[in-house]
Amino acid sequence: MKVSHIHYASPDDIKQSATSLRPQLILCFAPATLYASLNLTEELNKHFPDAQIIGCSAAGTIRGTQVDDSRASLTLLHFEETEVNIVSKTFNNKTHYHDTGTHLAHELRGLGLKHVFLFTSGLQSNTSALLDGLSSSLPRQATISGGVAADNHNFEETLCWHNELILEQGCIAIGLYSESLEVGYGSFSGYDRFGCQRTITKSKANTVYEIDGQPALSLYQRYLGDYAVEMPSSAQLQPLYLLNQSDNEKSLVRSISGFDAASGALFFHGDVAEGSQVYLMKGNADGLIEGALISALLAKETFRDRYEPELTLCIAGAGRPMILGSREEDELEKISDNIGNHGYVVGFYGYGEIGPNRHDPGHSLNNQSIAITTLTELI
Amino acid sequence: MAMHPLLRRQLKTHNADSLKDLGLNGLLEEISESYYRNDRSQTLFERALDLTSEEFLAKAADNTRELHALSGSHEQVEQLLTMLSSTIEISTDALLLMDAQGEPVLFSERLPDYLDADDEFLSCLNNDELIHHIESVTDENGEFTQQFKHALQDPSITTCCTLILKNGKTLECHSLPYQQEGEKMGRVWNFRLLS
Repeated sequence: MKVSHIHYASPDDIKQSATSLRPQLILCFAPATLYASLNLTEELNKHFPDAQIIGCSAAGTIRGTQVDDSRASLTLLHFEETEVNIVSKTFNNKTHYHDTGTHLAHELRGLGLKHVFLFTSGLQSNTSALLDGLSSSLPRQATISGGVAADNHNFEETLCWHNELILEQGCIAIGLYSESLEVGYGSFSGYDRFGCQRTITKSKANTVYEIDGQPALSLYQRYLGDYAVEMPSSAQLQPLYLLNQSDNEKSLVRSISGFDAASGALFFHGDVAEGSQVYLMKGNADGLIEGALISALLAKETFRDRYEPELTLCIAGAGRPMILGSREEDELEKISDNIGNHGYVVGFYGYGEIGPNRHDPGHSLNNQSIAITTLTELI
Repeated sequence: MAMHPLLRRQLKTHNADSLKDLGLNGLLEEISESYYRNDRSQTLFERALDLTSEEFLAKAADNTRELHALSGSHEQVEQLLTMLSSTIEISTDALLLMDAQGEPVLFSERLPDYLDADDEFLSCLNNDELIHHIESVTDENGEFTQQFKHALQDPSITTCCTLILKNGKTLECHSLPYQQEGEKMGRVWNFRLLS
């Protein structure tokens, strides 16, 4: 497997990179408005005619320890043996997300399916139901990771793309088929829960109407005070801890993707079942950097000294830079330092992180975490 | 975004406004953003602390009220138990209270006398030993044993039989189930001395 990376703002950036790589796949993460305006597909096709370009919009892209929010991040991947299959689905108001996930799985199933990268649009969709459908119909040994597209905390337009196809409501899945591909993973948030345990008293799928018998929105408005006017962006600072009562380690973090002022309902990226026990969460820079370190160490546990990852894909919660500011590079340093500097560390800040963790090797959707996936072809 | 007031004040205090002219605007903007970010974090943390304190204090007050109510209920139960014990002991009948599994839970003071047994022996009996004891002190024809076992299998029935003890006493023996909110909790046995 060979990897190269280009920060793209104009066609000159490709020429200057002077890469001789002939990628089959280009992971492209960029601000939502940039992808179409750069005419990227046409330009990349000139230089890399065999490559499929896939990715999504982001609230900042990651390359090594650098965060960039003005250019497109292009990661060029040339696989020696791994086959690639790309499937996309469009969402609308009637989409049954679990069924859509199942259909995705049926189209991706194939001999040697090792891993699926999934990128979904970030607003008004139910990623956890999509994941449930996908994972329940995939072979047990196939892992899933990926992320939910973001914009710059505007919560107005998030996109996924595959070559010329740009989806405002949809998802792109990449199946990787190989005997020689090794996949590692780790995921952690670093946020802490605080305050009273609360009960979700009224919810349906990923919409929460009431918490402790009160409109869900009013709880957030009360806790955010003056910052409530910046919702849903400001609500990323206080995500919800979804307690798994039988196994605390399997608890999840859920962030708000929107709200309805009239009904007082909150929309989340994943299901929040009625009767769930939840806590509000808070984060500080040191805790989040420690969380990044734990993610890296968990990922390292999956490959230890057997090999050095050739590609490390980091998908991080878009709320993290709101807390970290310039220190976002500190958390990326923890990853680079601990995963190893041999390969490329790339990724983006999104509205949701999909990744296996040690307690749930199939998949899980979290928010405000760092989900790391490492890839290496051992030939 | 306007420069953070604290940074503006610091630059003024240290006559450092010239930093802007040295091409350090980017740095100053970043410092200003950090100040704003810290303000937001501090505001949110303090607000969270205030609100959670309020919530915990309200919950503590609720818990104290519930504890008082429970404590009052406990005293009432104690009073009722004392009244019940007195009522039971004033009766000339002997009573035996058994749980849903047929194990003795409580008996009145007259029972050891009626059944030719001592207190200690009765208090540590299980149901098999009770049957065995009754069989040993009576000219039992099996009626009591049969009813006792039947009552264990069907907690809803009532029973009635006569026990003739070897010492010449004759006891009329009734039993009926007791229940709480529709659930069978056990059985009360009443022994009345006929001779």
